[in-house]
Amino acid sequence: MTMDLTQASADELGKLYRKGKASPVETMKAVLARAERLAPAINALCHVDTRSALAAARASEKRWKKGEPLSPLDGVPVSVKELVRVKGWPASMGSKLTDKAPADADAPAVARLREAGALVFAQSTSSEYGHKGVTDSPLHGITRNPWNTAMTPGGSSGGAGAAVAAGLGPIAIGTDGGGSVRIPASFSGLIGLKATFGRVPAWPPSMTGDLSNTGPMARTALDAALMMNAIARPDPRDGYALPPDDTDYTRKLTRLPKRLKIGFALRFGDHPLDIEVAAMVTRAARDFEALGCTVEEVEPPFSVAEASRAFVIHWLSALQRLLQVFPEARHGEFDPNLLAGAKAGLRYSLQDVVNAQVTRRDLTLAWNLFFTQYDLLLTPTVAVQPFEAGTNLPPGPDGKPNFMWSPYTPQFNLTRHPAATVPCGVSRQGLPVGLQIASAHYKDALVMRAAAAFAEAHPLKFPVLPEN
Amino acid sequence: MTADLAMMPAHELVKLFKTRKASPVEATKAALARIDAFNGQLNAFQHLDPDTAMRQARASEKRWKKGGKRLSDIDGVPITIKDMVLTKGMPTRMGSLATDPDGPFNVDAPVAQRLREAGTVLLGKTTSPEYGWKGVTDSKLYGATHNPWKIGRTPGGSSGGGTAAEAVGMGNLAIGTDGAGSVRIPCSFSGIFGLKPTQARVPLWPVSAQGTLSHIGPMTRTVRDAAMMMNVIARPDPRDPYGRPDDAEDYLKGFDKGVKGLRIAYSPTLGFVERDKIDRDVAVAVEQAVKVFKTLGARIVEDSPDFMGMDPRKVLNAHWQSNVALLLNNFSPEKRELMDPGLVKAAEYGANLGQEAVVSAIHQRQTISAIMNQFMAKYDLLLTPTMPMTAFAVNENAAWGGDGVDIGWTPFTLTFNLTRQPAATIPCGLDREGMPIGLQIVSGHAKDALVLRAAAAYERVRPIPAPPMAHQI
Repeated sequence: MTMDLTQASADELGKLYRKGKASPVETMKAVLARAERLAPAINALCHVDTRSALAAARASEKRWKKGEPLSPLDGVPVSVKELVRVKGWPASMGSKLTDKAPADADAPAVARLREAGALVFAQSTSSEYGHKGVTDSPLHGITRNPWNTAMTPGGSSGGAGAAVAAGLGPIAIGTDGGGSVRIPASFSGLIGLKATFGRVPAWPPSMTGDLSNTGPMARTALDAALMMNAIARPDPRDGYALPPDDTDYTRKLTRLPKRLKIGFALRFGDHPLDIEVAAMVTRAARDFEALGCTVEEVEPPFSVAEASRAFVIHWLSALQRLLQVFPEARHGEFDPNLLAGAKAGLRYSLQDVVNAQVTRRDLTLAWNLFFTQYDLLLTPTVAVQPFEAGTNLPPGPDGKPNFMWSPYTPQFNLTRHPAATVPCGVSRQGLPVGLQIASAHYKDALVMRAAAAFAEAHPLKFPVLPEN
Repeated sequence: MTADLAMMPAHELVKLFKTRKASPVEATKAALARIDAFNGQLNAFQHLDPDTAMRQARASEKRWKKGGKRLSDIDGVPITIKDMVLTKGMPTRMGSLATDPDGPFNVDAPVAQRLREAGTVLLGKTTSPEYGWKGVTDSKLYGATHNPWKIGRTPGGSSGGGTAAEAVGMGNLAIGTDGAGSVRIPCSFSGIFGLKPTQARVPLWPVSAQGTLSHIGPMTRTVRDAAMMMNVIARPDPRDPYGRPDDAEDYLKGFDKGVKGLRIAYSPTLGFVERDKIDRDVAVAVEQAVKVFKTLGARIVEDSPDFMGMDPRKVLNAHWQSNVALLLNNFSPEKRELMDPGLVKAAEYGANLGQEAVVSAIHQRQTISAIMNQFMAKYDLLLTPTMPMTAFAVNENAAWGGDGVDIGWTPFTLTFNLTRQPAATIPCGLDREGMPIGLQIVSGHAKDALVLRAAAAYERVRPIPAPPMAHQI
């Protein structure tokens, strides 16, 4: 074995398998070994199923030997965020309070990946019930960023982000209710997609309802596209799934359509913005001109403050259900941040909640009309660089906690528009910065093509953490 | 001849336009003559504009003349639109004294715009209870609308003006809206066909107070006419925040393929409606209709979804009551005085629902949708009664003497507003008093064309009769 299989992309692995230059068993063993050695440093995987991973790898190896792989992802190790059900594993949700009995069915995305032959080998960490944009939980402790282990990988799919960046499987499944795929993908230097709501079927219904999306996280756009080809397939369990459309997300992936009109919004209202993030994202937006696009600076078409308030009301009023689901005597075992949020959610009136729904519809309408004028929107993915692991909020310019560090992502959970993040470089302190790309509903493939075209022109070199 | 044009299915009417055996002007005159004859008794319109209609008819007539270019397959067909839908140049009052009679009325909702672009002739706006709040049609603004099958009975609601008009030829096509059954209830009670399409398949704007419960759909005397309307109105519009992908569906494709071999579930109770609440004549007529599907070659299985103790009625009540609570916040106390006391009462109920109750209802709605999706994965279609009863007296807010705050008397329809599935109603008989009974036909999401195809197969062997009144001209 000449190359480090843990650093290969899914697409590269498939090619190696096809040529017989590597096997799924070799890859799986390498990833499992690396996962074990890196566990203390990054704490990205909370459950590793060595036995079934190796059994799946052996079955995959047989298929490749017969020349009958199930898909280009056959034999590719994939981790699954602990908020997403995997048959036989606990649906722990990062919580001490949840039932740890093995789940009796795979969530749709997991079922599709298995059908594609992918090796579902581990569960990745999340903040408790995915309630915050960083990754630490009462159940599993703090997850760290492979780019700098003092820092958070973001969240709530931070385990997924850290795992992929560290070479623990080239692809991962995350979920995104307010940015939980895009924030950790940005903080870990990955490509991540929150597709149009309903494009990737999900089950069971999420606590946060139609804010929540299952999405791919990968080192390359091609890998994310290969994942979309599998996980966007229909599943009857999702009452909100879109009609299947058989899109091949790898088609013309790195070639952008001619003369796209792009809006670039550096700020989403009045919030602190890291100076390096601002500079890198502005440069990235300009670089789209080199790709043949027209780029115009734009303002968000709707009050971001009002939208953010509507988001918080949606979010916290959903969290308050946990106070009813679990007995009061055990509420002390919640992450204090989750408990405070759920209690705050209880204080909203019915009018607040219904008003927030109305604001959400008006916001969506405003962005829909925006996207009749512009093919794509570019923004920073996050307004700050990765910050200290174990803290909930980064410090603001005034030294006080900055609550407005992720103003760009939740908008598109409210509006259900597709939004991806693609890395646009590394800051002076060696931390990745992400560019968010959004479009009109159902143009997920266009968002992926824009991310792929940009990534091809701006490749990122991942750090290889020492294994000890 | 002119009287026949008004009752003629739109798809036959346009054939006459094409061969110049009839013209849009004649068709419009025929519809207006029926309005003169019947509207005094039925009270189906909140606004009529014969002059504009005639102008539109003359413009269409030119397009149908030799060498003209028609705008659509329904160019020149007289239509009506419910008062809940914005129409340029005609007042939209939402059935309410509290709305501004002076407008401005300067913009079309997507469905009105599509129908205008298609060259149809808009006769007027049909009545609705205030903000479509109940399943019958009366309001302080216009009084009660009556059922063409029996004066003194409600046509159902909230799109009851549209169904009363459509049933007797006051327009060849009608548009209704459906937040808990408001297309299907009046179509069932008034004896015509109606489709609540998959949510957002017909774009909706401005955003409804009822959010994703709200749907827009065709109400017609033949199934083919509804399919032709869908080909015009089910086109994307960026103003709908929930707009679906543009699928360029042709609702007439495969329309005549019948139901042979289709897997159809028959659920007389939908798994939660108490049998003693379902009128005996309704139960029998629906069962007979199911047998017709069997003779047409469908594979029928009696089966019901298991909602695991959740009650769709309660889930819908929490949604709509809390939504109207918010809606009424937009009105001053003086304006509220002008409103339907039943609506005000529903808003008070809604305002007193706890936030937890509503958030929990939202979550239950998702679970109910997931259960229905899994149920529909086993079947092509589902058949149920549309309503547990037939049309009752006017000026009641609900069946069974209810106050209308509890919308649970229409359990079969409201379930599919929660789940956003397509659901149609087609007449399947008359009860002991001669009032129409409806059969509901439901499919999985986005299979609206399949629902139309099944309804058409049934209609071929059980054509939809017109009410006796329609012949009294």
